[in-house]
Amino acid sequence: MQNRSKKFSLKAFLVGIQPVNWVLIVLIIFFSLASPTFLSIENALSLSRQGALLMILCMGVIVIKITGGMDLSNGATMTLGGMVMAWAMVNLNIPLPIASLLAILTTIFFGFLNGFFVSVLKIPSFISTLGTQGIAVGLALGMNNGNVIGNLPKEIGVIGNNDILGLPIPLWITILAFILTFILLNHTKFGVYIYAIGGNEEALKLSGKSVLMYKILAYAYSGFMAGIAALILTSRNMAAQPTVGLGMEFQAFAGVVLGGSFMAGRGTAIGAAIGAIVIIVLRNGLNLIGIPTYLQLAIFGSILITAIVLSTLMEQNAQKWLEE
Amino acid sequence: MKTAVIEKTNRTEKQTLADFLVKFSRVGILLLLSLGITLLNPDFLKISNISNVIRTASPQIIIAFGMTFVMLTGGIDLSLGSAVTLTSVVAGYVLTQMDVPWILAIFASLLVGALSGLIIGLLISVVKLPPAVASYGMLWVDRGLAFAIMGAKPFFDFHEDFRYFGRGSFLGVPVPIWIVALITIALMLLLKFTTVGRRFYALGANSYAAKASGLEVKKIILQAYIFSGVLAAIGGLILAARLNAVDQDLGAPFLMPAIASPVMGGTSMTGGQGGVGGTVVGALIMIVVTNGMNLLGISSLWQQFVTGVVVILAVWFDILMRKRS
Repeated sequence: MQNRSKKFSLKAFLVGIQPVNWVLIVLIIFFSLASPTFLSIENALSLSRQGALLMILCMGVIVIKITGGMDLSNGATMTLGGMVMAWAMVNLNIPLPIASLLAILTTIFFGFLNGFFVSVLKIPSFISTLGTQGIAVGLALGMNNGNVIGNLPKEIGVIGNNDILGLPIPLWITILAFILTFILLNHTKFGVYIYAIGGNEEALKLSGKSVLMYKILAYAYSGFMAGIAALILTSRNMAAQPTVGLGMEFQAFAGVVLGGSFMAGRGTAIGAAIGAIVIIVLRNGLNLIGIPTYLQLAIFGSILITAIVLSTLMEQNAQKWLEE
Repeated sequence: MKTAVIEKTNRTEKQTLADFLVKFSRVGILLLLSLGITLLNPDFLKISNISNVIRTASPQIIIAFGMTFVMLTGGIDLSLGSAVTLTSVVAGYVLTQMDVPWILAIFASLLVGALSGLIIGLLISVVKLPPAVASYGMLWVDRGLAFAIMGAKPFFDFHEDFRYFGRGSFLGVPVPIWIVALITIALMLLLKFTTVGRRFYALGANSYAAKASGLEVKKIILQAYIFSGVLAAIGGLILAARLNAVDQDLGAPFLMPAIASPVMGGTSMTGGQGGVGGTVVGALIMIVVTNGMNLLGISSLWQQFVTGVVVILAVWFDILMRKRS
């Protein structure tokens, strides 16, 4: 097992991390030539604020993706978390820390639900998470009749808009989320199990180990990350909108796949982080060079599909080379 | 390998009786739901209302047929909602922005649907991506293209003859119902009596055996996804013709009912079992549920909540049933 996981990470390094690095370098060179403001410190700082959500969601998705699953619900649960938090503060006068906790508990609950559906009921992850996506969207819309919850206490803006030691708080949180995910995946029993589930779930089951709990925990972890993202989202907007995060799940999926996790058992926290950065840079760059919003999604989707196809083909060829 | 094949055939033999009962129970559920709604609103069972319900539901039924084909091969097409959007937007573009006969809009739309399906099929069969990943990627490509074609403005006010497909009626029956009926019969015949149709079942029931017995797996997968894309286009066209307008959010709500309908109609998500007849029943159940919600005065904001629950329950029930037998 030890030997095998080592070989896996080496291969992942060779064929997974490398291309995404090249993509990132090419994008950065291209956009800094096309737009003079791209490489400024101001832009980098505003990027770190905007990108925090995506990066944090990616840290959750990568764990699920390694087990071979998908999470299509995190955009919706993040939104619902924000709605719950704002609703509790406005209607029940609950103080901010407890409301934040409520938001995180909500998203973790949805994570558990996903994990339960996938591992206990054996519903494929894309159906489970699509279903919970619908449930979360319905709740977020229904709980306040489809309206935005505004008029939140001022202190809510602190997380999203203030700095510590000259760096935005969302950036600090992102770094913490990355470190946590990195440690979990690389230095804990949880990580070993996650990779083993993705590598060969049947073998793991046959060896008498309980897969159930770790799988549920993986989905709950993604829920936890969605909750953290919900805090930043609500704090930055100073309001909770019932549809604001929809579609984020695709960006998170794209980031993780670009970062080298294109099949079960594959992927790393670093890869997911770089993949997320690629998407953040791409979005920002397209804005800066003045591509209209309605064209961005088409460009974005096509780049993603191309990237997935190229990395999968490279992977298949790399395996052939290794076999030779 | 050999024993696996034998086991598989044994299992399907045994299931015919159980299948019959399950199929019957689905029609029963549909009838019970309809009766329940009639208690809430006595007008529900009037012929005029039923024909209106089916007319409104016809795109949903046709789109669910596409998913049925894909599921028979053991795949999934998460792009269906976006394919509906894209194909109807293409039709809207040709109808309002180009100076060509309106019939070309239909061809353009069908072609785009077929192309979208073809790409997913290629991603699955040649690049070997999992169906969920391939079609999820295409979901956003289709959606992005629909955005790009539309720019900032929605298309509306289509040619009178085009609108006939959504609003007109023939021999007293709405045209969309004719289309659904014709497509249902055609697809039933296709699945039952042609090699093209039988191969979907063969591939879904046992992909190893299918490959070993020399079936061209790639071709079958491509066919299934092209069918799915074309059926999405037909659904999108009827929708566009009925609403007389298209926008970028047109198709998205169709994805979850499209997954739930075949599953509730007895099509196995793992492939090899089911058919379009069941899908009609499944789709009608979904529609009656939505109608019932409206009658109960539940805000449409909760609709996604309910479809989410129904999708999960339906798939779970399907998995349970297969495990039992």
